[in-house]
Amino acid sequence: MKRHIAGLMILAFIGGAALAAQTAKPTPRTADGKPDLSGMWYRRVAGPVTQRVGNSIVRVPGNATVPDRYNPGRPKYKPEFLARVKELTDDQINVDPAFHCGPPGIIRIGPPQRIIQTPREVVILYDDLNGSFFRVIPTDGRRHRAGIEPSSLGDSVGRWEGDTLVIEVRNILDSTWLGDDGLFHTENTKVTERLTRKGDTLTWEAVVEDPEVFAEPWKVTPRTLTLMPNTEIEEAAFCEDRGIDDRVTKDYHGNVR
Amino acid sequence: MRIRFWVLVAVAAAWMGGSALAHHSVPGTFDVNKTTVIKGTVSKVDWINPHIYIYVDVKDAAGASTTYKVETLPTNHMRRAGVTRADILEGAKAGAVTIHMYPALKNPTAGFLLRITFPAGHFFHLFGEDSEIARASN
Repeated sequence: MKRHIAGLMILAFIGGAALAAQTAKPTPRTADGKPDLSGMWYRRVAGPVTQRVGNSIVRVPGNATVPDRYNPGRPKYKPEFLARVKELTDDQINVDPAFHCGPPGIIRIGPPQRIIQTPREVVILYDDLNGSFFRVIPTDGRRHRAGIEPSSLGDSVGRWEGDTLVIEVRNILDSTWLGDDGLFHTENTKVTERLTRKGDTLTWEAVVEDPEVFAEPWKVTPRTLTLMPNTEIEEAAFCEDRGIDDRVTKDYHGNVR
Repeated sequence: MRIRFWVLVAVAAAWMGGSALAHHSVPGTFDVNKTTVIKGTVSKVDWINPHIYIYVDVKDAAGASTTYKVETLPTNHMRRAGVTRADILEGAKAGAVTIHMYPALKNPTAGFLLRITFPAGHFFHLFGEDSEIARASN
């Protein structure tokens, strides 16, 4: 095990050096002087896990074992809600909407994948296992829309604070979860995301506030993404719920009904 | 212990972001400590999320055919690996493919794909380590 940990540390160091080199590049800016967040952003810092050799696809032994090891963390629920979190966790395989191809919602969908930036708005596109999703985020002073139904990704408005785009999200459908393990929320959840580009890296930060059920705001573990040049997002393939007949859940959540 | 460690690491590497984690835990469905091999013809490829399915018809000694459901990566992971549905169907046209897979814990005719080897000799090794191919048994 020690050897494994040493190996992971070496690979993490190599990954960190590569990330530092990408951060050191100049940050491109749009005509209005804002950092240009446009592009396809990769969620992993590790290299590819496979490569083509002739007609074959082979595993890349080193990279295949480099985990992103991203852990968003967990919110601190008020004591009276812990039983509910446990109940949902224990029955996740049955009751988690995302497990059955439902929309993942904010913030579970994670950081941006593809960003399109204009002077008036920023558009974020996602190719998720559960489908293609998008957000149109005004950055020209428009406020949250009134009279619209809640949605899985909510209603977002953005503003620039220096070189950071700050996005406030409201009106998030309370049937979505904030993450695995029963992370339920109310319809009054507020999410604040911050996007900062440095060179060819983009750092995503998020804070989730839900005072009805959280003991304190949840600061999600930040994530730094790298730019993927010459790559374009594609429409997600259809997500088909194949049920849970083959699942043996002792290593996962819940019991098969 | 060693195998389990690396499998968990590989799963963590492969499954991340979005609703990925909500989906199917490989160790929760498949025996990741075992590799089995089947040989048969590809009858269908379902290019769907959360995981792609390859259907393989396997004939026994008496000639009776059984269809195995072989689960593999999500579509965007497969795209990143540079594999298309056409690549699989085209490679499988010439005859039987060999599948190395984790057998399902419950379903005797299902598995999770490690490597598909085509009649022409080329292969797509999409999951797990070389040692997990080498340990294969039937």
